[in-house]
Amino acid sequence: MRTFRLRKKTVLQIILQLIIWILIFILLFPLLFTVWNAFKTHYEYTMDMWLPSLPIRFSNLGVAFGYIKGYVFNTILVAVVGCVGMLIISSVASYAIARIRFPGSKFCFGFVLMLMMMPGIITLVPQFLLYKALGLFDNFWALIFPIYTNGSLMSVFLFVTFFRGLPAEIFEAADIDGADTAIKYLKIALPLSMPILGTATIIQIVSIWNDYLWQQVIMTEPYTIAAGLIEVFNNNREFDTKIPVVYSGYLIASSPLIVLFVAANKYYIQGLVGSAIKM
Amino acid sequence: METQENQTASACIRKGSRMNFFKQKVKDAGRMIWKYRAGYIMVAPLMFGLILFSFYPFVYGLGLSFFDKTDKLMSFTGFDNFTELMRDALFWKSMATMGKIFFFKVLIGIVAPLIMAELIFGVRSDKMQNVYRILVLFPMIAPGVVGMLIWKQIYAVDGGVFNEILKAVGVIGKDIDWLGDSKYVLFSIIFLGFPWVGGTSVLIYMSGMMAISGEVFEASRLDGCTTLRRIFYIDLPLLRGQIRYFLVFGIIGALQDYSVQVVLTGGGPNQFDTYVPGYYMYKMAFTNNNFGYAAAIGTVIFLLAGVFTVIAYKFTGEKKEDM
Repeated sequence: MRTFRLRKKTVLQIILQLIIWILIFILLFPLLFTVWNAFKTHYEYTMDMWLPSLPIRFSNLGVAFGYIKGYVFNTILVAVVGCVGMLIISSVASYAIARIRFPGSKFCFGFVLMLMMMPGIITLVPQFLLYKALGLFDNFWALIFPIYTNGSLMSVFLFVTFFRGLPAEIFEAADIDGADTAIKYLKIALPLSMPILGTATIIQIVSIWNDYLWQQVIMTEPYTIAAGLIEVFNNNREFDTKIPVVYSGYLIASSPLIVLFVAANKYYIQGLVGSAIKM
Repeated sequence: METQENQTASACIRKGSRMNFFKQKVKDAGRMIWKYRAGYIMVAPLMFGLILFSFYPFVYGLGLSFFDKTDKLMSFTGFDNFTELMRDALFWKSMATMGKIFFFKVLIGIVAPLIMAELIFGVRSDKMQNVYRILVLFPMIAPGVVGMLIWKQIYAVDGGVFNEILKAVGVIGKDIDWLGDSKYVLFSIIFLGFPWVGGTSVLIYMSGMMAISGEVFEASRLDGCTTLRRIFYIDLPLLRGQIRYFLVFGIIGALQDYSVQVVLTGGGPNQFDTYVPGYYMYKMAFTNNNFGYAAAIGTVIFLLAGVFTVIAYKFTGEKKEDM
């Protein structure tokens, strides 16, 4: 009786995992499809797109890279300048909101939450007019300031919830040792918040990689990768007969995110799982 | 603190001067700010940026919808934009299109990740749970635009994956133009991203499930509660916070999403078949330079989002406990 129930449970587990694998396979199929077709000739692609085939043609990567390298470097530049500033601004402000509790700190956090809920649709047009009025049309900083402002919102939300959750005793101990605010922030709060830093960075970088709309309205020519890809591959009939090159381009465009993901997914998952996002 | 205020107040009354009272108030406030100066300095860059680049545009946008604004011209027209909008057939058509997409997108956004989270949560091996969690995040490594462009290839008429599979299974006889045929295009937009279980949502649900005390699960198991019953009577009520989060942000997201239109359909086929208000606004502003009218569309969507959010809150039960 007992062994029977045990076996039934094992069977159930196997079925469960099978279902999960099938779902994950369907989910990841477009990505896998992109990866193996990136290395074929167009003829091989039209003959058999369903499976990987040999030989692996790395030359596709070179060709695609030639088309999009400028966009890749631009995007990396925006990501570095944007993220570093955003992380400093948001973590410093969050520390003040969560641990200094000055009069008005609750208002600041409420303000951030309110802006988080604000649909971007109502601000797109006026933001465009504002940046234009400030002389930032077609300007590098027009891509950076939104990261420092709108981009900081989610990050402030994560940091504040995290800093509030830290036990007060650590900070009291530091107070007794005579530590000032800067030291408490740099030496205690920041090192403890590595998972949040990782999470905020990934969210931000993914959104920079995804940004198509804003940079399309504020720049005269495609600058970062999302708009670049569309400009090069989507609006160009020439590639109808070179589809594997297109896939190579997608692969290259994704590669910095792949590196980031491999490096930081542990922090990211920790940060998300630990943050208890709910309403 | 209180006694000090009382003293100053009575002192002022004695002197009979209101000016002095306010001076004292300002002085107190100044002292307060000085005491917490580190805090104010630390939030200043954030708050300054947010007020200028995020909050002001919101106010400006609301205001702009009462103006007729093109590149150079700007004149106050009152509610003209709105009355014109109410008579605008294309606007109503786009609202109807959005409604259809909206319903499915919000539903999918809540249910699909929940099912996946429950499935993964049901796996007993911690090691495998971890593997699945990472795999589920994998679609994030492709930029959204790439994801969409890949789906464009999947939907391609000639040799696209979707047509090939459906033909092989025998569901369809001949190739279908999934993005170019009015009959199928809305389905294609909704189906895009199938099986929709990737990304952070699954993890957020899982973190909620892990926060539910193990004793609760243990007790339900001892009482002979089946898995399905457990999901409906224990998991779902305790995951209300997460569900509400996805509901609210799903509503806000679905109301204003027009990325598919910009990247894939361009509002077509038949020129207007996939128009949604967001895309209409975008076209009005950046193709027609009619910023006032565009702002009015934005304002309407914003109000809709507000109303829907409130309804969603009411619908999902009692007021929020904690964020």
